[in-house]
Amino acid sequence: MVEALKNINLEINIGSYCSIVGKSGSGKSSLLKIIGLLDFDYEGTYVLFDNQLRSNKDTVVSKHRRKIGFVFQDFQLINRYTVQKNLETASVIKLGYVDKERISEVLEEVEMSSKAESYPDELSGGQKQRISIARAMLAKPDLLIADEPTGAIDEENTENILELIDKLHKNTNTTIIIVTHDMDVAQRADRIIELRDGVISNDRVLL
Amino acid sequence: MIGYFFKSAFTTLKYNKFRTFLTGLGIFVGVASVIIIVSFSDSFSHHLSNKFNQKVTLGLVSSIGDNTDFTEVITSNEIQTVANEVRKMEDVLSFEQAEGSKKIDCQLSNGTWQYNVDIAFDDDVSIVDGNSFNSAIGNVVIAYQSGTDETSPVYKLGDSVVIDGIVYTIIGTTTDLSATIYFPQRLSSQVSYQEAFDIAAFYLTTNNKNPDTVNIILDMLNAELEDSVNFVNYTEEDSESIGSIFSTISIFLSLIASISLIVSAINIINIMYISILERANEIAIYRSLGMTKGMVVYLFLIESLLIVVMFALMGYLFGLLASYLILTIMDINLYVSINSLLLIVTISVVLGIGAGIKPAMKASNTNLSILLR
Ligand SMILES: Nc1ncnc2c1ncn2[C@@H]1O[C@H](COP(=O)(O)OP(=O)(O)OP(=O)(O)O)[C@@H](O)[C@H]1O
Ligand SMILES: [Mg+2]
Repeated sequence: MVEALKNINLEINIGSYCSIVGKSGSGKSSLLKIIGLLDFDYEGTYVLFDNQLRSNKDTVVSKHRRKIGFVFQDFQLINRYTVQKNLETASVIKLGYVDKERISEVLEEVEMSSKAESYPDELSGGQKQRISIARAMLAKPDLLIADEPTGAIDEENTENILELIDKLHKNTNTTIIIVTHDMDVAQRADRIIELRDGVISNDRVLL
Repeated sequence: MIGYFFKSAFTTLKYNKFRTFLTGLGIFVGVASVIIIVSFSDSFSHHLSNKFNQKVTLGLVSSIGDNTDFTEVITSNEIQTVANEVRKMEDVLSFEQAEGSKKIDCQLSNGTWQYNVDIAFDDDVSIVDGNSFNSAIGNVVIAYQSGTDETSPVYKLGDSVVIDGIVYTIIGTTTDLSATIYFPQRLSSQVSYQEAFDIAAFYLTTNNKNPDTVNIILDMLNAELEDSVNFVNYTEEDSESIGSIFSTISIFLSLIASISLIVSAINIINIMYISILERANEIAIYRSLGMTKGMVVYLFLIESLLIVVMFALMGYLFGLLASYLILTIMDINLYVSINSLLLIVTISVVLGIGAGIKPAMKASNTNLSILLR
């Protein structure tokens, strides 16, 4: 039995922009999995938007996941689908139908309209990440979760991706939680939570 | 949503064309072989029992004891007599095609005539004089009754008409205005006599299994016999036991054939498991986007059902076509009972769901942690 996190007592305000930092193996991803309803293997309670959720209520959990936008380090796009089909699938799962209008809207926002018919393998890392941000924004999420969103892309693209996230936060007041080991990235948030060996070692609000 | 993922499942199968083909091949071969075996055994059984049932065996039994010398109670000449009667009935059979207008020879009480009459087959003629066909056997007709004119034929009970060289006795008359001669319907379709007969058994074939016909012949034979000895119909029991033997063989062969279906079901389970392992990431993505477990089960179940149904259908058609062609060469009619066909449809759908459900459940339990690192 591995204890990746210990004595975590954390409250995150709606509409805030938090970054979680820490060394490799400090438990950042483990915490994010719990926050994002991807992992229920923990002791204690987690309350998301006034709901305490457990894994055995799959339909309720699924409903909440639809209001969360995920951005992963490895993009997690479906490689055998085109960009358009990736977004359509997400639209069907999240909204129950294919919202073509919204899809072209988010593609425009991430400046990827011209690549709608491309396959993920035909895109650069930065482009893939922009598509995955488009997918996360598609259903106007209440919460955006990003685990090392810039971990697999170069500096120039990093700036681009972070600007997209900043813009989302400013325009829609979406709650954002971003995991990073890069202090420059973390500085963009209004709160930095630092983990060390599964324990919160520092938690400060930036002005 | 369900419609979208139905299309999606189809796309996935198309995307993995070769694998889909290989998976489906097992189902195709399995279903085709079951169909071929079932339709062969059904057709053979149908063919043989038909053939067997056409031949009715009348045998002699004695109420005195087993030591009866049958040659003393009936001579082959007497059987010959009956056989000839039966042969005449066969002649009536050949007459069937000639229903309609015909010129006949009449040896009537008021002279000999050549006259055009209508020929009809009808068991239910309303009689004004004489008998209907109910009790009559042999060469009998019912004729219309006309006036007593010296210049036209007058048909009376007991008179004879000759049609195609065979003499028929008038047993009844009608008041029909048209010149019609009626033959009993039962004679029009049933009896044809086969050459072999001996002292112990008398074979005949009939087009239908009408027991009346057989009984008429039994009556004719028994009329020639003493009371202690009787002709009886042996066939009834035999044809029943032949039927049951074949249905047993049919069930047994089907069981063997369904083993190949089980093998292909295992094949599907195997491939679905591999597919799920390969697509763990994709499933995790769907789940992280908010797809329910139920929807994941549906998605994978649809995939395996699509494979099974598509290829089972092809196997089905191929099996029927192959059986038809081979049986036609063997000069046997293709005959598959509806029950067998329904059973195979049911089995393939159950196999599709059965083989798909376990992997689909596993898919729905894919760990979502793999998306992060
Ligand atoms: N599935 C797992 N089973 C057992 N232990 C795990 C599992 N996942 C992570 N761990 C352990 O939990 C601890 C925290 O892991 P976590 O992935 O949260 O680290 P992290 O902060 O995200 O690191 P990185 O920056 O390298 O991504 C580590 O010690 C890791 O070995
Ligand atoms: Mg991590």
